[in-house]
Amino acid sequence: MSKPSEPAIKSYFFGKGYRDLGAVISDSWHRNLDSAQHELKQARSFWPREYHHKGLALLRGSAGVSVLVFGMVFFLAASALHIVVLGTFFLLIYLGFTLVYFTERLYLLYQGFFTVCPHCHHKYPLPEYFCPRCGEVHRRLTPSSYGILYRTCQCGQRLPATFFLNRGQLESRCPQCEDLLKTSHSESKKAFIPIVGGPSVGKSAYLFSAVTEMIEEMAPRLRLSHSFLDKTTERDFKQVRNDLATGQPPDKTLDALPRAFNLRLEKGRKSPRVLYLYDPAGETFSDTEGLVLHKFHEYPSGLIFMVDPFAIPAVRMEYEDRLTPLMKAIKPSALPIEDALSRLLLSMEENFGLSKTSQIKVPVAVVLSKVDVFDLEDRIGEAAVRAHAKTRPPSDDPHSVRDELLRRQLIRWEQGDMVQQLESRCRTVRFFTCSSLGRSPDGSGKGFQARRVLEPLLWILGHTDSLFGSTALRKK
Amino acid sequence: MPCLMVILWILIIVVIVVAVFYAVQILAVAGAVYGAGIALRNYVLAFYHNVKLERAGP
Repeated sequence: MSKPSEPAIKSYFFGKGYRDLGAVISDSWHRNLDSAQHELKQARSFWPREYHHKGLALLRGSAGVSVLVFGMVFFLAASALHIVVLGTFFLLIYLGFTLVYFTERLYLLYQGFFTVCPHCHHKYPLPEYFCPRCGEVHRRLTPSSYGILYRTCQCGQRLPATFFLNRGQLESRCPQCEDLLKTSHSESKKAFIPIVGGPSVGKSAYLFSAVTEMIEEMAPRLRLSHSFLDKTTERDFKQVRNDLATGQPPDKTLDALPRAFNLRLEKGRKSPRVLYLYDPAGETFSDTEGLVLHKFHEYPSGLIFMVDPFAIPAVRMEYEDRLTPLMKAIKPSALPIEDALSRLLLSMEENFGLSKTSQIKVPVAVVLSKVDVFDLEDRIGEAAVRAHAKTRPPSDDPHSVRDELLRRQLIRWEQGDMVQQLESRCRTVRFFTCSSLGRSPDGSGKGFQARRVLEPLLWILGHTDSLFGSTALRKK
Repeated sequence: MPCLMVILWILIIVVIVVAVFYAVQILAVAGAVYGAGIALRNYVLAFYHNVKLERAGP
């Protein structure tokens, strides 16, 4: 399939040069034919007359033949020279743009820059760019036969054709859904973290609490400046943060295909980092069909698998008498945890290239939420981890201690199959507990105070980016 | 005497034949050079009218 032509002016040596060569050959041949016919006609008119006329006839006749013979020799020789000149420039330009193109590709690969649409979630190497003057769309604004470093739009506007010349400053759009993109969607290091789990497990509360902690605690500590890539995300975040500060939990997510929550973090002259956090409606995990559109499962940096302890029948049984009056506040998830996990794995197998026998290679953080409810904090929270650590050799990593404690507890709560599935299908799993709100919503108007929401996020980021690795390790 | 006349006539005829031969040769060569000139002019004109070193749009 041929590529559609670009609305730009092509290099002379990649198109018009050869059309010109053809036109020169054709034109000179026709001129030679005309000249030869003229000379032979003159020769014929001289021939039947006196001797000196016959001499002239001979002269014009030989000139007529000569025009054809030498004409052919001339245009063959001159065309050969013409082709050599065109070919030399063609080769030089081809080498030039190939060199710049591959240098750019390698640099972008080294930097980890590629483009992901926050709306339709397609991933591609380059967005489509708009000409700032006429608005025409340049689908492949790269070093090419349209120009090595710059290209000229058909309106006459000069456009940079490479990353090195600030191509990213041009307005761009997603080639798939045509949603407008910011520079950072292409030219930044990215981390893609879907927050997965059934309905009401606390994904949205987790997302907003984790981002709030990231902005208010981690970013100043690391001297990172932050910004939101789009106004909607910023407006939603501010709204939810205000709600959380006044004791109002975030609204339930309704979008089966969520727009990525983008947070841009920047430190000095280092490449900017953009976090893509995905919070799909939990109902999409009720069947695998709903997960087909979650293209972000093709390229995740890690997964946060939210587990609502009250979705576990054994826990509900254990707290039955106290749970019933608080059902409205706690909102236990109706979808069994192993169902949500199985559907996620099945969807990844069917749609996103995970083979039935292979493992998810990215880190998976299993986060048990709502630990503020009843005595869960004492049983599986940090106090319990510290108590459990006392029974272990002092050299044991606190994370391993927590993993062991939570793993055991889940098995006790008859979630052994889920734990086994997690451990067999995920290469790196770590268990966490958190409380995204700090307490159950009670309508008191008192602000929520999240607990340990940042840890899972930092653990995943630590695996993908050295900028977060040391922080994640320092914060225990 | 008649023998001398015969030789003389033969010489004159040879000179005429050679002269005509060379005249024809010279005329033919001149014609060829003239034709080559025309061909060269035709190529230069074709090049001048068709080659524009500007880049072309889509």
